[in-house]
Formats: sequence, structure tokens, C-alpha cells
Amino acid sequence: MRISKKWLNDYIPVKDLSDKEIDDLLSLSGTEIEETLYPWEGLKGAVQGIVAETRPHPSLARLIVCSIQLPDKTKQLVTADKTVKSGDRVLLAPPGTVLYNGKRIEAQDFAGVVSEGMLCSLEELGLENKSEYVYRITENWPEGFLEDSVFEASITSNRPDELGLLGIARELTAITKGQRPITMPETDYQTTPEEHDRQFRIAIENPEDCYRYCGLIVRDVRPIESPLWLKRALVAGGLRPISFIVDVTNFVMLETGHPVHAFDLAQLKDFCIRVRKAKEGERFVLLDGQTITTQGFECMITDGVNPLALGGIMGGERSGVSERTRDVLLEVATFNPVLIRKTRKWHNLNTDASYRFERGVDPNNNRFVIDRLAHLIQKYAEGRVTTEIIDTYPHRIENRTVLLRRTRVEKILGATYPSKAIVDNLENLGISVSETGETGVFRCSIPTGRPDLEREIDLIEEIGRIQGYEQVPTILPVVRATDRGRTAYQTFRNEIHRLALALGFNEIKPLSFADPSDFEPFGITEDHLWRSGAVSLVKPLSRDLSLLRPTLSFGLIKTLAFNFSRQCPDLKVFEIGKVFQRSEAFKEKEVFGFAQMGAENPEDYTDKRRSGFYGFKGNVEEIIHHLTASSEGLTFSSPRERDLYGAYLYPTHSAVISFNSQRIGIIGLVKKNVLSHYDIKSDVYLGEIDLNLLFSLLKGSNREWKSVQNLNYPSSRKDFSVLVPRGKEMGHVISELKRIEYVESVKITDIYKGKNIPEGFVSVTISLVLRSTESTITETQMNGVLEKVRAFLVDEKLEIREL
Amino acid sequence: MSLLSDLLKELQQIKELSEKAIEAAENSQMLEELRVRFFGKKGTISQGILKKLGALSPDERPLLGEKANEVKTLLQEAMDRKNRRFLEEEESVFEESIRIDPTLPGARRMAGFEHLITKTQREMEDIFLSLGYEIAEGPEIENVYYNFETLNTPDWHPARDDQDSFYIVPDQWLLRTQTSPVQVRTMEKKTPPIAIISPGKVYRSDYDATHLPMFHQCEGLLVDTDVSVSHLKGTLEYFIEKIFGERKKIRLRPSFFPFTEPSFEVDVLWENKYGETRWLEVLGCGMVDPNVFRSVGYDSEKWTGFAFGMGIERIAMLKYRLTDIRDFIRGYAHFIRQDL
Repeated sequence: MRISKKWLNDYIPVKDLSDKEIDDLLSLSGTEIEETLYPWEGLKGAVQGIVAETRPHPSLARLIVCSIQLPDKTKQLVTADKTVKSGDRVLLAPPGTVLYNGKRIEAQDFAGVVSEGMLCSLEELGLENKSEYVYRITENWPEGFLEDSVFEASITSNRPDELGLLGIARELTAITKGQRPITMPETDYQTTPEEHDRQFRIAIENPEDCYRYCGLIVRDVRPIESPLWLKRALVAGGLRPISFIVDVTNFVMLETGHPVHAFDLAQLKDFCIRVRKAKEGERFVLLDGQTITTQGFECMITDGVNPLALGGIMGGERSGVSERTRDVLLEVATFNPVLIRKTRKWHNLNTDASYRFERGVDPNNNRFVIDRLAHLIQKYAEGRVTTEIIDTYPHRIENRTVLLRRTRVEKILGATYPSKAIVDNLENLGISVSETGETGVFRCSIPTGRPDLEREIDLIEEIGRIQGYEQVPTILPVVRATDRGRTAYQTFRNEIHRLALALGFNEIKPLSFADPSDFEPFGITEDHLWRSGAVSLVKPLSRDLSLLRPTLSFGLIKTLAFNFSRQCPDLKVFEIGKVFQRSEAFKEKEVFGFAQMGAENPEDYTDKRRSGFYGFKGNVEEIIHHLTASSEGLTFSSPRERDLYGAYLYPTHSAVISFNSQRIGIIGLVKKNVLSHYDIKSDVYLGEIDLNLLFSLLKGSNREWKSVQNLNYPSSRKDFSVLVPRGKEMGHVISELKRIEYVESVKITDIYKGKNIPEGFVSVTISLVLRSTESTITETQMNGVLEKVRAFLVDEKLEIREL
Repeated sequence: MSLLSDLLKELQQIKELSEKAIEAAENSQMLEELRVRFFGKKGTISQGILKKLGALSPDERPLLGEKANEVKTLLQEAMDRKNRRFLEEEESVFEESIRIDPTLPGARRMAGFEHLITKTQREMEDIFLSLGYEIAEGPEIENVYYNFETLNTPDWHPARDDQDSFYIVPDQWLLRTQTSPVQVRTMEKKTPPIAIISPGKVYRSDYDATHLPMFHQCEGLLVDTDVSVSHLKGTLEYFIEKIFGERKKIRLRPSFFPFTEPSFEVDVLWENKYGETRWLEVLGCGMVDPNVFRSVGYDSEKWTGFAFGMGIERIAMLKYRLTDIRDFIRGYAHFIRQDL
């Protein structure tokens, strides 16, 4: 909503207030001013002058040269408008002037004749769409006619009353505590009833849609240009001048907040207005030329035969006023806001009318609005008003009565409010307040122009905002709620987060959307659950944001790709976030996703290692070890063929992560063809762990800590190497060795491949730590253990290199 | 000449020779050899002097013994001195051999950086946890009932257009546009007093330098018997001071949200680096609308409450003076780690 200060001043004195003061007054009471505009700022330097003489341009036949008499000097101007003649009053824009369209005027040389500026047309002043001639000042052109400040106000959806300048004026009166009274605009006009026009009938078949319809016939309207003040007001209000009748209806809408319409009376088939529900499938051409097909719920304004307008939204092409229109039917109606919203949404027709009607327009203001319209038409374009207002009001809206308790005001706002302040504030808003007999309880009658005020709480808000919140004391309340702090899951998630950071992974938060074209490179086929069960958006911003992600992998890989392409080839990243799936219901679960690209320790120039599987796996072990203070429960296994992720991870270089025998996630090396699709020329390891599942598995898992009392006697260490054929999984060997009596821990200390090791084998060095809780390990005990180890390794068909 | 005086003379000679030898020693090894030569069982003092002690008269013996000990001590001290010097020299050679350049960069093992949004969110959580609030969470795919209807925003309400929503099933399921549904879900489960904050992801159909289609919100709710605007002001003032690390002036600017009445935008008086101040909008809040209480079965005559909500990105951008919100989602290492 654009508020022209100059226009507003017609209803309430605001000229003495600075722009900043008006901004503060409105903004601090709930009418946010987003911006203050100065549309004609650049034209300040334009001056009035009189054409003293004109002569042809010496060499350019299409131009003439004029001498313009200014109060103190004469200037020479060149113009293409040859109708300019001496004695014309013109508006001269000297060099440095900026036109309404932003163009800056400079002195210009036309084949040897210098033009010291420009003679303005109305187009250049922004008051006309297209001008052919230089503007001659014929009307009153007061000093500073174009000077104005325009406030761009963001009106919240509960305040339709503020969608007209009179509403803004009323608001300002209330905010300034009644210090600035309102001047209502003139509404008087002559009525010359005609017998024929008395026959005009208005009928509403659907009062649930159209609450009230007021009509008025005005005949013999002169086809005039809109007066300049009207054009200026519309432009300041953000609309373009079109023709007098249209301009005046727009003006009244911006003034009163009530959308109005004018029909060309000659276009009505039957001499009546019949408002009815639309039929299904009616085709109707709107004023702007587009055709709609009705659904059946809309409200149509008809002449009994043909539809004339889509009620509350837009008029029809056929019934609109034109240059030939002399007789008009003025419409001031009120429609059901919910219907207008539905119609507007269904047909996607956002108009100034629908915007106001769907927020709620006061039906009890219709007569005032139509009077105002008739007044303006008659005042400027003559015209005979040939009827009284034809008023059909089947759906009466009455003032609402609400009881207001002072104690409640103070309880909600937390400050003291004297009864007088409460009453004054409400009355300045046009609410009539009366005593109820009970102290501190008021009966409030709320005008229908404020549909947002329905309940006691709504009135409390009014008192609060008019009185201001500066005076409300500041108290930090003591919280009495008994549920406090973080849940166990939130703490668990924070712990994962902390460990991921400690292990060197940087946190990322990509969008939760997914691009369907990522399935292909990842090798995710149509029947894959990620693809068949993907959740898609009805109206996505774009195709690449059209799904909800079924995995964090896409985001991880794309983030690495983004970094790789920007010279960050070594990176560890992680994300904790939700993935989505559609089955019978929508499922979302929280996942920890982590990935590593390039060097193991990029900032350590003493360490040249690349990232590798075992290092990557170590992260998982370390995290789980921290969560459980144990090495129990966590196992890794080779993926089976039909495992979901096989498509983008190398099955020979990845693992399924299980906890207490339940699969919680995967880790592995991303396939080269996936990486090359995203232009990553490096190695990438990637893993995902289902946090919701892991949390439920950890719950109740043993977190008892072992005491160092058990470690009183010294341990002995025994290292040996075995030859392991490719494909042999050592996990089982290690866990079996751990079960031998006196074996405290089994660690891998080296994996060696190469010289002296036969092809197809690796040498794995295992380190056993032996300890007894009763004494130092004896030679006999040690030999007993080694005997069992040997026997076991033989069973496992592992050749011992050294023991 | 008596034997005694011979021996004393010899002792004097040994002393002088030894001192010269000590002086001439070139390293600690040579010094060690000298020690053996002088003081060993077969050393000069034992062999040359002490062995001959028996030949002296009993009253002469102590005299020679005493003298011999004196020489021994002197030599010992001389050797120690010399030895210390050798050790110092060796240490200084070693020290020089291990000289590093302290100005060369360290070989770093990187700890990860947490995301700025997580960091800011965690700070918010901690502030409210310290006040006694709990953290509540809920689903990101919400139904219309929780996202709008219980929040006093029925289908016909124009406020629904204020937030362009991502629907999954038209008019039924959508990505939550606010974390307020979590508040409703919590109220449905619990009886007051209630104090929660609900941080999390929300989604709106908007994407440019100042809007992301997915961003983070932190909303809060306090319900008790006598909660008023004055408590809301007090809580927000405390929060703003803690989150920005200094006391700031705030103001409540009346506004409109369907689920609160009265409703406010909160402005903070913000100072730029040139010391100029202006009011910046940081969050929305208000007193819980009685209709919201009705929808969860609370008696709005008995219970009152306030609610507030803010964009975590917005707070983080103010706090860290960032201008492009898209920095948060790109995952660019130079941004995350600030090694620029």
C-alpha cells in the first residue's frame, strides 16, 4: 500500500510532520513502512516559463527553436513539437533534472543550436503513458505540485481497513491520541431522477457470496481527460492513469479501500443486475483479455442474460467502459472474503480488488463510497445521477459487541492501564465504549470496518499498540516447567557431532532436496527404494530441487565436487540430517553421513598418506568406542551382492557396519565412474550411519567401566606374523584369538605385502597382550596360550611366519 | 731427605703433572682415562704414594694421607670442572644440531569445524537451557493440521499466502514452514507450565541472496498462569544480550501473526562498524492466541503464554556480518574453516 503524504493530508493534517516522524508513528503501531519513495525528486528543478518566440531550426527541419521567458532570464530550447507557440506556458527541465523515468537531462547541441534543457511532456512527468506534445500548463499548477513523499507500507493481512488512505488517516488519528482530527471527503451531488431508470433492479441470488450490492446510474458523463491532480494522485498511489471513469474508480478505491466498478450501461442486455453463482464451465472473457472457465463456486455479476464481471475480482471485457461510454452503472458491492480468496487462488487472478475483498471490505460503507464516486464524476465530468442508490443488502453485517476487562488487559500486557486511557484509545479507533455496571468491565461496539477485532484479546492488542510498549516493564520470568534440558537422543547426537569434529570432519549443511538426475550416475535403478520411494514436491523451485533426499550421499559427493573444482582436493566433511522416504506414510530418519577425499592429513606435510579404507573405518570404530567405552557390539562385514549401495561403492572395498548384529550403515570407496561424473579426480570414501537406529541399539547397552584394579599385574606381549590369502577375512580370527584365556587384547600392528611374500598373500603382524588378574604371567601360562594360538591358526589354515 | 719429604715431593709432582694432563684433555673420554690413571687401583696415586704409606712411621702416615687426599680432591675438582665444560660443549653441539625454524608452519592434524548454523543454534539452545527450557523436536514433513490449522491459520486465511509452502500432497502434507507445529505437538502432550524451544529446519519457496528454500528456525514457547508481554520483553532482552555478547536496546513493533495476539516484530538497535546505529528486525513474537490454546485443550482464562521465533541464519548473518545466505549451504571448505 502506497501512502502519498500530499494526498493523505487531504484527510488528516500531516504536513507539519517529517517523513521520519510519520514512519515512526506508523511503524511503531503496527503499520510497517518498508521504504519512503520520492517519485518526482529529480524534477524539483523544473520551472514554469512562457514561450516568448519560436523559429525554425536553421538546418534541421523537424525541429523548432524556442525562447522561453523565465522570471529572471530567457533560455533557448529546441523541441520536436512544432505546435509550441509563443504565449504557451510550459514546464522547463534545465540540465541536471532527472525525469520520472530516471533519464537525466543535459544541455544538448542540435546542429549548432544548443538546447538548455527540455520542455516536459506529461509522459516525462510520469503522468501519462504516452505523450505526443509538450505539456502546456492550462490548469492550476501550484508551487511544488509534484513534490511528495510516498510511504510504501506493508499492511498485515488482518488490517483491510488500512488498504485505503482514509483508513490510514483513521489509524493516525488513533495513534496521535485524537490530536489530529479527520476531514471526510465531499460526497454531495445532484440527483435528477428519471422514471425509466427507476425500473432498474438489482437482485442477489447468493447472499452468502455477495453480502451487499449498491448501484447508481449516471448518464451523460462527459468524456474528459482526468484532471492533473487525479493523475498525480494515482501515480503516487502506484497506479497508471487510464481514462477518467477508470481513474476515478481507482482513486476511490485507494481512498476508501473499497474496490468499485463502473459498467457501460449501454452494454447491459436486460435493464438489471443479477448476482448469482457461476455455472460450471461458463467461459468468460475478462477485462484484461484472458478467458476463464468457471468451476461453479464463483460469484458472477450478470445483467440477467450475460455475465458482466467475475464478482470481487475483475470486470468483463464486454461491459467495461470505453471512450464511447456516456452512461454508466456504478457498482459498490461487498463479497465473502473466503470465496474471493478461493476464486483468486483457483484462477490465479491477483487484482487490487481481490486483494482487498479477500481481506474483508466493510459492507456498511458502501453508500458512502458510491456517494463519493458520484460526487467526483459529477464534479469533473458533469453527468446526471438519475436514480437513488439501488441498494440490495441481504446479508447484513452488524457491529460486534465485545466485553473488555481491565484486569485482563493488565494480565496480558503486564503493565497498568488506567480506565480512561483504555476508553480513549478505543474511542479514537472508532469503537464506542460503554460501562457495564461492573467496575473495570467495558462493553465495546466494534465498527464493521475492523473485521480483525472479534474478541477481547483483539481489543487488548489495540490498547497495547496505541499506548505503546515502551512503558511495559521488563521482567525475566522464573521458569516453572519441570521438563528441562536435552533429551537423551539430543545428547547422543551432539556427541556424534563432537566426535566427528574431533576426527577432523568439517560440518556441512546442504539443502535437504535432491535432484532426480543424481540417481543415474549413482547407479540407482528405477526399482531401488531410494528412487521408487522418493518423496517429491508438488511445486518445486526447479527440477534439481524437486525431491526430498533419500540419502546424504548426493549432498556429500556434490559438496566434495564443489570443493574439488575450487582447488580444495583434500577434505573431510560430515552432515547430520534427515533423509526421507515414502511408503505407507512419510518416513524421515536422521543419518550421520561422512566422506573423505584425497590426503589423509592435508595440513600435515610430514604425512604423505592418502586416505584409505582402514583409516576411514577407524573413524567409525573410534566414534563407537567413545559412545560405548567398549569395543563390543560393533562389527563390519563384506557387503552381499544385493546390498543397496553396491551401485556406487566398490563391493570389494566397502563394508556393512553392524551393531549388536543389526545393520546400522555402510562405508566404502566410491566408484570411479560416479566420481568422474562429478569431475572429482581423487579418491573418495563415503559412509552413512542411521542415528535413530544406532541410538535405539545403544540404549541399554553396557556402559559399565572396567576398573584398573584388574590391571595390577604386568602384561606380556607376543607378536607374530601370519600369511593371509587374499579374500580371507581376519575379523573372525581376531575375535577368536581374543577368547583364549589370558589374552587381553589382539591388535594388528602391520600389514605387509611385497618382498618375500608370495603373490596373493599378505603378511599380517598380530600383537597379543597377555595378562592374568591373579599374578604375573608365567612361562607355562604363556606357552599354553601360544599352543592354543598355533592350533587355532592351523585350523584356520593360516601359515605362521614367526611365532 | 726423609722418605716422607720424598713422598711429599713426589705427590707435588704428581699433582703438577696431573693438572697439566687434565688441562690438556680434549674430551670427556680422555678425562675418563685420566681419572683411571690417577685414581684407579693401579693409578699413580695408589701405586706411587698410598702403597708406600706402610713404610712411614705411624705419626707420619696421617700427614701424607691428608696431603694425598688434598691432592686427590683438587684433581677431582679440576676434572669435574673440565668435565662440566665438556658436557656443556657437547650439549651445545647437540642443541645446534636440532635447531628448528619456529616460524615454519606446524604439521597440523585438523580438527573439524562445526557449521556456523549449528554453532549459533547451540548457543541459542544453551541460553534457553540455562533459563530452564527444554528442547523439543518434530517432523519436517508436517500435515496441514499442525502447520496451519491449530495455529489459527485456516485454509481461507490470507496469512497462508505469506509463506509460500512446499506441498508434498496438496492441501494435506507439506514441508513445515515453521517449527511452531512442534509447539502444538508438545502442548497436546503436556500440561502447563511449559517452557520449550524448538530449533530445526523449515522450508519456504524462496531462493536468493537473502532467502534459502531450506533454513533454520528457533522458536520458543512459555506457558504458565501469569505470563505477560513484560515477561516476553524480559526474556528477549536477556536472550539478545547473551547471543550478541553485549547489552542491546530492543523494541517491540506491533505486527500480525495468526497464532499470537498481540504480535510483534522485535528490532535491535544495531551499530555498524562506523558507529552508525539503526533498528534491525531480528525476530517475531507475541502472546499465544487463545484460539491456539483452545485447539490443544488449554483453558485460556487460566493459562497465558508467549511464543517467539527467529531465523538462525538471520542471527548468524548479523553476528558474523555475512551478506550472502547461500554461503551456509555450499559447504565450501574455505568458508567453513575460514582459511581465506
